[in-house]
Amino acid sequence: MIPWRPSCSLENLLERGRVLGVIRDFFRKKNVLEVQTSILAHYGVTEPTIASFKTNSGHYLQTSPEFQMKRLMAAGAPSIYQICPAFRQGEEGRSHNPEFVILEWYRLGFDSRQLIVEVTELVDLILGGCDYQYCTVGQLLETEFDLDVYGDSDLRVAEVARDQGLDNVTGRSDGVDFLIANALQRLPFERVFVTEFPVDQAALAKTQQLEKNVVADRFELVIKGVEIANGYHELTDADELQRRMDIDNRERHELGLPMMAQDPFLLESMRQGLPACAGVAVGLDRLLAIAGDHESLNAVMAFPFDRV
Amino acid sequence: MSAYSTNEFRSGLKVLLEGEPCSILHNEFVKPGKGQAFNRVRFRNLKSGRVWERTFKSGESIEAADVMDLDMQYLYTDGEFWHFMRMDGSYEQVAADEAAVGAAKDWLNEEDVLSVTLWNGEPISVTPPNFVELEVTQTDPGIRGDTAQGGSKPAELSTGAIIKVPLFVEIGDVLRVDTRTSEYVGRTKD
Repeated sequence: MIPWRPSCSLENLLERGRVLGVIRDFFRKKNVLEVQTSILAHYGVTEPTIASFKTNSGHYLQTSPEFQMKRLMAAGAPSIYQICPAFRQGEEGRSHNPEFVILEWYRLGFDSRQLIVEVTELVDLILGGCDYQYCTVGQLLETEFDLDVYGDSDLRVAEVARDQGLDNVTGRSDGVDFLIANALQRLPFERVFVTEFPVDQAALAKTQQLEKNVVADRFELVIKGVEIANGYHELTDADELQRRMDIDNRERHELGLPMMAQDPFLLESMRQGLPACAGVAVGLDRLLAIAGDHESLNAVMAFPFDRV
Repeated sequence: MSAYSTNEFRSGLKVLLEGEPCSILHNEFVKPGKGQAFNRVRFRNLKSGRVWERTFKSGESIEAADVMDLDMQYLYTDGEFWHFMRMDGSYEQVAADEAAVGAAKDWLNEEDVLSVTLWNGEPISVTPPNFVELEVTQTDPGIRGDTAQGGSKPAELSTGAIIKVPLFVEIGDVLRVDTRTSEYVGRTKD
């Protein structure tokens, strides 16, 4: 039989609608403006670990609304939020669907700490209040694996990753990604903010010198072992952005992945000046799945990828 | 030799891991938003029965294992090997050693049909039917009429297996036994 029916219950459909209302009320009260940007664009992302869907016409479905929202900020928009679909090829599983809904917002003049507080306010509204734990990536990997993620050699990272069951470790970031993912799933806390990422995992966050280490001013909220939000004190330096995009493409070349053109609109907007701000993206489907205590996103999505 | 990529992984797939034939039990896609994607996979080693967990970077491949489960008839044992015959009309026989037969040897009744797992044509494990019927060869004298609850005693079956049975069971009775739990289910009607 052709599975034409939605995979989520009517109850969960209603719950999604209700939560969308809660989110919009939340931002309305804070004077954060709802915006809509384009899903289909001429440029994708350079990050080697994110695969864009490319259309026949050579365009890309957006893997996140980040670039266009930053251009709005550079053009003088106030604090903004958006609820929109995003697309990532090859990501399918209990907590992944190639098309998913992102809730993303940018706050003028905020730093990570202020944005983290706001994330907890919103999450509490949807899931109910609960304590939050805070730990740095350094603390996380030291406690779980006795590893100094900022100081230890590539060899040592690879060795620990292998001990933990990663089959074929080829690079430092492989090993670190794997160990972070493993450690997060074992954390005994329900809600944890992970902060101070290694610089090679900075993505589009500012970096900062803390004691002897340079770290990325980036945070993730993990709830019951699932990554729910990823936020940055946003990088505003266009040259640094270009340098990171060059590194991405070198890595793509080494991995045999297609090179991705750097988005000139984003780069130019950053040269004109992105105001100091912090931004965060929340996986809305995951948050809904956790709110309803569901194992899989299918329970909260009308039509997951195997039904469309 | 063919290979499977992580995106083809599903439970029941037979693969080679460290040279050992394994069956995939569970495959989970794990990907940090900003990071490498992984598949966290649980395997059952088909020879030892042990469960292994390994993580692969998504897109990697592992070799397929030539493993099949066949219904075969148990013929006899010569003390070293247990001999089975194919049911597909070829009458082809295979000999399984003690490691392959494992705990199933307690339930091997001549002429019974059961599932034999072959790897590259060689038997690596034997799965008895869930229920077998075996004759009692040794037990204390039965207490006639005592079919009520309560009380059990050991009984040795024709295969050498020893199970707990109710007090009324006698030598020569044919018992139905659950091979998964080694429990007495009932007597078969004569």
